[in-house]
Amino acid sequence: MIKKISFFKSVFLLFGFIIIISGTIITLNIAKNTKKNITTNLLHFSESVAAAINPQRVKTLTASSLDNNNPDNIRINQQLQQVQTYLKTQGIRWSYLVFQKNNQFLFSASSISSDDPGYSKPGDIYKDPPLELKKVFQDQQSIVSQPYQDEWGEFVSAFIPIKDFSTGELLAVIGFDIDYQYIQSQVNHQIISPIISTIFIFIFYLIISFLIFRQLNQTDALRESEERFRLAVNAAIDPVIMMNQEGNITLWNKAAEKTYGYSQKEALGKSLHHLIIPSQKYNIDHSINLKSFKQTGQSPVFGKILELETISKTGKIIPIELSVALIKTKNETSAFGIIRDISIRKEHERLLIQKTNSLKEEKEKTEVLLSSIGDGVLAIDQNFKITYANNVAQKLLGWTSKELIGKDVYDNITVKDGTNKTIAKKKRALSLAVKSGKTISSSIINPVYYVRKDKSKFPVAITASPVKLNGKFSGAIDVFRDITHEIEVDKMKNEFISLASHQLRTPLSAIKWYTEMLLNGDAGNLGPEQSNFIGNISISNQRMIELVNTLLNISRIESGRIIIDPKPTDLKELISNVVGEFKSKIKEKNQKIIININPNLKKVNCDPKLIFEVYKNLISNAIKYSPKKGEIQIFVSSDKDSVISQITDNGYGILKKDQSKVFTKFYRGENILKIETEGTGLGLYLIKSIVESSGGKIWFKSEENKGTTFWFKLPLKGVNQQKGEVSINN
Amino acid sequence: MKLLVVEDEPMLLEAIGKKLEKEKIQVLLADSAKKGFKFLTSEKKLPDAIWLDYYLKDLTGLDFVIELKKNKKWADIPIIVVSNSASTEKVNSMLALGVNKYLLKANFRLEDIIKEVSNLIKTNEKDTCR
Repeated sequence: MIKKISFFKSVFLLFGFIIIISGTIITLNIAKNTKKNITTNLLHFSESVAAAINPQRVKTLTASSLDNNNPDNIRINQQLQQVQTYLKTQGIRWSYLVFQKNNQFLFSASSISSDDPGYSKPGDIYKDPPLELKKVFQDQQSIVSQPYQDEWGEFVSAFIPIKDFSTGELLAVIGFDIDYQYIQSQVNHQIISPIISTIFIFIFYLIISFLIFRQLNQTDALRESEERFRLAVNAAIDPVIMMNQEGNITLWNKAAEKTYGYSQKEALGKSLHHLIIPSQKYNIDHSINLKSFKQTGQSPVFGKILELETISKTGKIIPIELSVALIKTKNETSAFGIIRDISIRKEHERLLIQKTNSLKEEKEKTEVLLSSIGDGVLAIDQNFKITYANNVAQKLLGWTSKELIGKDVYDNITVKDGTNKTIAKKKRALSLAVKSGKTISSSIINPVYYVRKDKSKFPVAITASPVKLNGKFSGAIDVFRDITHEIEVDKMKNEFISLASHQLRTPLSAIKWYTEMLLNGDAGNLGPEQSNFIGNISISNQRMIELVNTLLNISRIESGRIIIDPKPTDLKELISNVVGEFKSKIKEKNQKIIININPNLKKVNCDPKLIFEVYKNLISNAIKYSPKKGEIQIFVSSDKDSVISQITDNGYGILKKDQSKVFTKFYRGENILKIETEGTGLGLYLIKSIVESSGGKIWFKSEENKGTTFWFKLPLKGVNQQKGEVSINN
Repeated sequence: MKLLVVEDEPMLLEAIGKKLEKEKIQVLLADSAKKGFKFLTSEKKLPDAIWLDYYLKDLTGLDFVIELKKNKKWADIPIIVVSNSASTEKVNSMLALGVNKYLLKANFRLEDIIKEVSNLIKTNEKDTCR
């Protein structure tokens, strides 16, 4: 297209040039012809004037002052002057007679009056005459000169010879001077119209060309824009369609092809409605709108974004978002639509709704759950504002949910300690939980108190947990319960233990002491059988005492009130003390005991009383559940962060089926029940509790009739102190 | 050696009494705190040591010791508590009051307790002589 335009431009320039050149040539021609005509006319006219002059009179002239009084001269002068008026209209200024004498040109009669500055007396020499004058004298032929300049102006002259009729002798030449300016003005007069015509034609040509170019450019721009539009429409990711007033498709881009499966060929000219809009769904709507569009070129959908379902060639329902615009050109009115396939969005929306519903359900469930549990629950947002309080929380605190929600939990719920002092914000379980990111529970042993709306207080067990959303703190949950009753029960339990220990042990002490005295012979010597019986009573009584002790220990450990009082402990010494207690037993069973303790082992920070109990139980078991001549090994080693003790025997072992129940309260292995009747089934339970409350771990490996190995490890960094109320074995 | 035994359980008191008699130890048997104080005030020669139970009919061992320590004459008598109730709290408060030893009744034979008492008296005498 652009090539075409530049071609047109060249043609245009060429034609313009031709017009100008032609105009110029025509004008010049006209100028030339005009000049020629004028000179020809001048010649003819001059010849006819010359013919009227009588050569006989000329013959009498002398071209000297003598002529002044010559009647012929006067006559010729009159004759010339008479025609002068007429001559003037022909542009002739002067007419005169010239004689040639002695190679000089001399004036004689003339039309010029004597008062004219251009007047020359008869006999005056014609200085610097035009060349043609001479030529006339030579050729004796009329001639018109080229324009020439003299002191009087610029002239063109016609020279006519005057001859003697009878002899044909050249007498004189008559000259007619015509103002060149006159000729020029005539020429100008003649050429003005061709110049104007040329200009007009050129201007007309320019206008026509301009119009043509504009049209060409417009067509070109239109084509360009159409091309661009077509490319853009086809490149569009979204389907772009257009529908004429008949409801037929006039535009169907590539994306539309892809989305709906109809090619452009298939789609163009078809009814949009029938092609992609399911009739049963939008029939009425579409018909009304289309009717309105047909009649008025307007539709309520223009400028709007519609959401509707469409159908593809394969029958797939495609939910779309359709933005419709009215496009009006000179010739037609169309509806232009951009379609966005919103299947994915719809699917997301569906999932979102599903999720929202399940969340709602979940929330309902949670609400029911929270309102039906027996503990108070407060939910707090990241600004520590209460966002939820369940029924129990409202009841316990005396505040209604309305009064609590949106309030700062620290400002509205005061926490006090046992001495009625308000606990500082940063020391409250909630703060600690948020700070540490862990669940924090308050202890029942040293309870804290919540203050109710009416300023009364009640002891609570608090479990505060931070809530993290995507790893970011977003609030906290405070679960609490009134532990007034628990404290009472705990107190009663402690009193019971204390009392029971006292009450149970008193008769046991009496039995112990009296059997001791009997066996000692304090009440006289006993027979062998009596001695045996009393001995049995004493042993049974001792077992009873130990059972009570163990039960009390367990009860204390379970209550969580056990004191753990770690001090640097030499395990070697501790173990040798334990082994010392069993010396007679070992001797009795003829068992071998091997102790191997890492000599570099430093003192371990643990509660010696508790750890003594662990070793005592494990070593006692090893002795008890190994046959005579058995071998017991005790190893103590340490790794990077813990001390590991190992107690191995080559005894009866633990049956596979019993192994999972070894640490269960009152459980005793089936195989050893028959061999060793003495035992409570409490020892391993107790020491597991001790090891675990010391931050350690206990485990074992055993095979029937091959032996058992127990390991337990304690943290090398030391056991944490626990402030309790009781210790074991009291 | 002369001992004051304060124990409210008659059977235990009797056993202690018999055993000490056998061991030829002079003994004052009191089944209540009141009786104990009576012996202390009435006896010309104060006992070398006091064998004390914790729970008594009329007082707790703690109150008994507090009373005892109030009297300058009695304050230096060594005390051994033999009780079946030996919570850490009790033991610690008794030791803090100046009780020399706290034994768990059921865990000790009479002979062993007597040995402990004798040792206690011996150390006390040494301390006093010095």
